[in-house]
Parts: sequence; C-alpha cells; structure tokens
Amino acid sequence: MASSEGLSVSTVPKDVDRTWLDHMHEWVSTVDHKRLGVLYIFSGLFFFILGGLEATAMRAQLAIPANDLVEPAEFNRLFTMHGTTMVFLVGMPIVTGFGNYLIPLMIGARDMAFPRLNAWGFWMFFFGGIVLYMSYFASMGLYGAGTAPDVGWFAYSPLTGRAFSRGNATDYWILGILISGFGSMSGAINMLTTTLTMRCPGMTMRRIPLFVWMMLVVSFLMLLALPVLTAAQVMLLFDRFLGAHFFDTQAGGDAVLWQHFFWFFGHPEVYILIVPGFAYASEIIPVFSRKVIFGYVTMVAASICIGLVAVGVWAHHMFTVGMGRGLDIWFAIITMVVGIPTGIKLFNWIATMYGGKIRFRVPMLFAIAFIGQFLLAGLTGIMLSGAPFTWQLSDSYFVVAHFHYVLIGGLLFTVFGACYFWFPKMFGWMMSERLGLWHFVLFFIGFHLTFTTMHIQGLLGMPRRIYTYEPDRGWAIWNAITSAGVVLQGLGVAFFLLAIFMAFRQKKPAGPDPWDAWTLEWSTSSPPPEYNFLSLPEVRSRRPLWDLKHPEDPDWEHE
Amino acid sequence: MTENEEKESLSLPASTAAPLFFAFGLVLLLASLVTNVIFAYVGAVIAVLGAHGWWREMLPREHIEPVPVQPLSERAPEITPQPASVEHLVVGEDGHRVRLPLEYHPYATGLRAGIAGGIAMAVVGGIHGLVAAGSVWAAFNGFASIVMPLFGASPPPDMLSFHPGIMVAALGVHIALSLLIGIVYSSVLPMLPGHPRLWGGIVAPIVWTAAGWAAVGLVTPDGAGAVSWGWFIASQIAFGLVAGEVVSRSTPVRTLQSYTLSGRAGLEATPAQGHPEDHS
Ligand code: HEM
Ligand SMILES: [Cu+2]
Repeated sequence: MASSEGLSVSTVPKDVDRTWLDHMHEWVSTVDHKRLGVLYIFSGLFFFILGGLEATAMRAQLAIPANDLVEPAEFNRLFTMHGTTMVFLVGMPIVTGFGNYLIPLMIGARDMAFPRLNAWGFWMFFFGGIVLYMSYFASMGLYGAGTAPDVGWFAYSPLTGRAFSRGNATDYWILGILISGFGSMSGAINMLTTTLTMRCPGMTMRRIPLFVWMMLVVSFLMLLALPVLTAAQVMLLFDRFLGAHFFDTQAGGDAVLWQHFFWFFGHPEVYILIVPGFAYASEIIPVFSRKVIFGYVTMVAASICIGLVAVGVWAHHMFTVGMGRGLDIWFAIITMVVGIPTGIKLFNWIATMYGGKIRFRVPMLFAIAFIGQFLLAGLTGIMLSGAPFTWQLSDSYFVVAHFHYVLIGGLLFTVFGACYFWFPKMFGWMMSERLGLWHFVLFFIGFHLTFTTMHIQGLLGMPRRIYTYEPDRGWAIWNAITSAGVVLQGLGVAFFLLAIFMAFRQKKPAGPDPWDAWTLEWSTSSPPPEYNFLSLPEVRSRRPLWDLKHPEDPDWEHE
Repeated sequence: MTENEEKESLSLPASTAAPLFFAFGLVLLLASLVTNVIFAYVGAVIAVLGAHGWWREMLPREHIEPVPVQPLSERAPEITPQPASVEHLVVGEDGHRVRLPLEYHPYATGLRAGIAGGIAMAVVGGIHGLVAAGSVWAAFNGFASIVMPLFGASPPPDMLSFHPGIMVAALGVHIALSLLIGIVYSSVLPMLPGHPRLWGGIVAPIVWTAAGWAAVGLVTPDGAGAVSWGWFIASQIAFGLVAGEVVSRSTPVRTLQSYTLSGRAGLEATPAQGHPEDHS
C-alpha cells in the first residue's frame, strides 16, 4: 500500500504529485464513510439535475392548453422517470449520504460498522441508477416498443404486464430499482449497527444528537419496507419472464395485491424521505436560535411514534380502489393519528426558536421555510386522509401539490439547508452567503408559484398525468403560473450550483466550527481527517461542545 | 487529547475496490435479463472475483492500513472556554422583543383537553340531532361521513338510527381529531394574551368554521348544504370552552426531565460569537 514505506507525515505524497487517475482510484476504492457520503450526495445532486430537467419538460408542455411540445407517450415516460428518479435516485442517496457522513462523526466513531459493505451499498445504488437510465438507450429490444419506462413511479398492474408493456422498458424499471434497493438496505443495516454499537464513551442513547435518533428510525423503516418492494419486484419479474401470474387478473392473479405491496413499501418510503428532513432541521434550528432543542425526549418519542404508525397507514393511497368500508375507515383514522406526533414536532421546533437569539443565515432560512411549508403539507395530508374527500381529489393535481409540498417544501428545503450547514465541514470552505440568499429567495418564490397554485387546479378538477388539456376548462391561467414558477426554481438551483463552484474556487476557510455549534462533528478539523478523531471523545451531555465552551454552565448539570 | 500526540499513525480499514467489483458483477448478472446471456457469464465471473477479493480483505486477518495523523498545524485546535459567557435573559427585560414562556403545559394536558373537549362536542352534537332530527344518532352518523360515504350512498343508510359500525368510525375520527386539536390548543392558547377560554371558545370556532365552510363549499358544493353551520359553530364553541377550561386549570410545568427552569424555558441565549458576516 502507498504509505507502507513510512508512516510519518512527510513521506505522504503531496497533492501535486498525484495524477487525476490516482485521485479517481482513491475515490472508487474508498471505504471511508465520509468519502462514500460525499459520493452519495453528489450522485444524488447529479440525478436531481436529470429529474429536474424532466420536470421542466413536462411543465413546458403543460404551460399552455392544447400544446404539442411533448408527445403523449413521451410525456408518460417523463413523469415515470421523474418520479422514480426523485424518490429512488435523489431522495434516497442524499438521505443515506448525510447519514453516512454524519452519524460516525456525531457519535464519536472512526468509521461505520461495516465499511466495505458501505462501499458495496453505494455502488449498488449507483449502478442501479445507471441501469434505469440505460433504458433510454437500450430498451428498444426486439419489439421496438417504448424506450424509458412509462408505467408511473408506482408501476401499477396491469400496466406492467407483458401484454400492456412490451419491450424491456418496464424490466429496466424493475431492475434499476431492485438493484439500488439493495444499496439502501445495506446502508440501513450499517447506520443501525453503527448507532447501536459504536458510540464513544459517555454517548448514551439519551445523549445522541436528534439527527442520529431520527436516522435510526429511518433505518428501521428502510429495513422494514424495502424488502417488501424487492420481493414484489421479483414476483413481477417472475410474471414477466417466467409466465407467473401473481398480478395478472385475467389468469387469476390480483392487481390490487401489487398496490398493497407497493404502498406497504411506499408510505414508509415517504417517511424515509421526510424524517431525515426533520433530522436536519433538528440540528440546524437550535444552532441558529442559540438555544437547546426544546423537548429532546418528546422529539425522540414522536419520531418513534411516527415510525411505528407509518407502517400502518399504507392503504390510504388506495381509497379509490374499493377496498370496502371497514378498511377505508381503519386507514382513514390511523392516518389522522399520524398528525399528532407530527404536530408535536412542529411545536417543538417553534418552541426552540421562541425567545432565541436567531441568526438568519442561509441554513436557517431554509429551515424556517420548511416549518411553514411542512405544516401546510401536513394539513392537506390530513384532508386527504378523509376517504370521501380523496374520492373527490385522488389522482388530481391536489394530490400532486400535497406531496410536492412535503417532498420539496419539506425534504428538499432542509436538504439545501443541510448542504449550506455541513458543506464547510465536508470540504473546509465556506459557501457564499450572498449566493445562498439568491438561491433561497428565487427558489422560495418559485416553489410557491408552482405548488401553491397547483392546489387550485386540483380543486378545479384537473387530473394528474394528463399530457394536455383543452383551453375551455379554466385551468390555463393556473397552469401558466405553475410553469412560470419552474423558471425561478431553476434559477435558484443554478445559484446553488454556482455557490458550490465558487466555494471551491474562492477557498474561504471555514475552520473547524464555523457556526459555533455543539455536536461532535464540529470538534474535529474541516474536512475531518480520515480517522475522524485522534482520540475518541468522551461526552457527558447532549451538547459536548457546549460543555467545553462553557465550563461555568455545562449542560450535564441540567440533563 | 495530549496522550496521543506521539502517535504517528492510526489503523483504519484499507481501501479496496472489491465491493465495487462485486456490485458490478451482480449488476451485469441481473442486466443479462434485458440484454444478452453473455452478460450473465461475464457478470458471474466478475462477481466471484469481487467476492473473493472482499473475502480476502477480511480473512484470515482484516486488512488494515496505517493512516498518518494530521500534522499539528492542520488539527482542530482544542476547544477553549469562550470569553463570551452565557447570557441569561431577564424576564421583562427592556426592549426585548419576546414574551418568554416561563412555564408551559405538558403535552398530556393537551391530550386531556382534547378528550374533555371531544366529550362536550359530542354532547352538543347529540342535542343537535335530537332537536333537528329527533334522534341523538343523527349527528354521529353525519360525522362519520368524514371517512365513509353516507350522503348519496345507495341504498341510503337510515341516518336516524344507531349503527354500530358507523358509530365506531365516528368515534375513531372524533378521538383522533380531538386529541390533535387538544394538543394544538394546549400549546397555542397559553401563548396568546387574554384568557384561553376566549381564544379557544370564540375565536378558534369562528376561524375553523370559516375555513371548513370555504373548503367544503369548494370540494363538494352539495356537502355545504348538508351541514348546519350554526350547530357546527356551537359544537366548536363547546369544544373550545371546555378544552380552554382544562388548559387554564392545568398546572403548567416549570421543568421537564428535571431540567432547570432557565434551560427549559429558553432563558439562556448565547451571544453570537462574532463571525465577520454575522448580522446579530
Ligand atoms: C400528516 C402527514 C400525512 C398525511 C396525513 C398524508 C396523507 C396522504 C394521503 C391520504 C395520500 C393519498 C392521496 C391520494 O392518492 O388520493 C397521500 C399521498 C401522497 N403523500 Fe402524503 N400524507 C402525509 C405526509 C406525507 C409525507 C411526509 C410525504 C413525503 C415525504 C408524503 C408523500 C406523499 C406522496 C408521494 C403521495 C402520492 C403518491 C402518489 O400517488 O404518487 N405524504 N398522502
Ligand atoms: Cu402515504
């Protein structure tokens, strides 16, 4: 190995001596949780650009009535690839990436429990994404039918049957998601094991940062939900390749069974995506309010409740199937129950800010916007939990508005916040506050233009997944506004990319602790050395750095 | 951290591309389904090689690599006590923009308020049914329509008699929503100036009713006609008055998890540490 001739610092080759191939080799063969975390996050951002372009194409088509910019069949592929990409290739890797990067640092460990499995997981995810996108080039197959998959992100039967989906496009969907699912499962095993077994001295479960607690809930949900999807996908492969009839109604199979399998995975999945958003907010808000998080124990309890209830509500996505009264009622009520722990969390974030000395820096701006937007998203969610209400609005733009409020207003905003917050730790450079502000303002206005108006189209009866509409429906003006918002969001993202680029160019040093924060990752250098901590830290409270900075009034006297 | 300073390196798991190859092999193997069987052979070989490489990383001994420690100049300096000490806000301090919540109601109060308010609301609902339709059950049957189809169902259920199934549904929704609103009230009412009963009993019902009326009217224009909005407000007022009463009677807690008052109530605020672009 490279450094075996000598261990002292001076013999380590300096950056200038290494070619880009050496760098590449280091990255592809790495088992370091920090590098893998960065790989996950940057691949996620890469796919985010792809998914964003797909969305832009759809909104361009819908901007005016009776438009013919995008063909009907192409439109189907666009919304399928957009949804699949955003959930599986953007949300999942970014969530796993931040978990990977931060969990060991926050609990005072030198790496994840299974570093090589970690690398395997990343590559499975990455190749899974490539396989999905290969469909654009390779799925013509013998039939010349279709390129990218066009069955929607939940791939309902019978659309996925051989008879309705010829060629291999649907198979690419199955395989891509199946492969990347293995990556996520191994990531979950790793995060779970690391948190449970590798905490530094004094880091009891009552002292781990809320981020770590929430990622624990997320890992649990991943392990519970993903295998079900994987199994269902294998069954679908059997249907398609071996002539099985699991989901083939005409041969005695059951199309609704697929829906149950999919949503048994799908609803926990949406919590797998939003709870990390809670996790970022729970770290950012206290630091920028200069206050300790309000109600740590309640927050943990609420997270666990959400995790438990989240696995019992899946069929609220199936109210229109005709499940029968008993099931409709059960799933409606239990869905309303989710609102209780979720509401508690909102109060705790607000109470954390209340009376604090708030610093309106870019990460905090994103977190504050998240609170309001997530509240609205939760309210439309509660509305949709009433089964008769959903009968009216299911598969309309109202539902599309609801889940984009959660996924963008909730998750993506906190992800942006998290990027500005932890970027200095990951790379050692500050991101520009000015560019960040542009990013925030443009994206915020664009988001509301697009998605707040979208509720109205839904109420006016516009169905989702239509490629065009007639001018006389009264939807035109709202669609024009919705599409206009996309331009601003695109500009916002451009400022984000510019801010990342400029940070590497300008190299404004961040120092180990740019935000005057309190969790362990800020006690080591930025970027942290490969081994994270020279000697393992010892902690006595939930805010170890506070204790060191304020020996006259340490936290452990209060906890 | 001093005891470690003479260490020159630390051992970490060595880098290896074996997991990459293992993953790549598996992917080719699976991709053979949609390409050509040759992919399966190549993939199988690569996967076996990768698995073997991975195996050798672990056995007979885990392959670890010495990583040189950072030179002193690159390490994070030890954390030193900050000169700016904790600033304890004084309650009612001049010019401070906030009213500090010195005490707050535990979430359990919210749950109790929700239950009590829910009972009061059900009583008003029952009376409404009696007065308007001559049956206590009318209101409950109507309430269940939040989660089940009753209006316009065929055959239309008899809205005046008792149906156990509908009752269970109505109760489930009612309990879930009462608890949720109870928690909202217990968190929000004490922060508002004036008396909780006023806000919970007068202002909130009007706001809810307006919102509900607007939403129902938009979504199901027929539905708005089916609701007696006067009684709707009355039941909201019953809920709000009772829940407000429970909240105002409960003893607010000064501490949770034996945390000091100042910490818990948010009294401590550190001055920001003077970063150049700090606005505060
Ligand atoms: C208070 C919490 C929530 C409630 C009560 C709720 C309720 C619902 C309901 C009933 C539906 C089905 C609507 C229909 O298909 O007609 C739905 C759809 C959806 N929700 Fe939520 N939701 C909540 C939070 C979330 C969160 C946190 C996320 C994601 C991070 C999310 C993402 C989605 C998605 C993606 C769909 C649409 C799935 C599709 O049809 O493609 N929801 N929600
Ligand atoms: Cu759901």
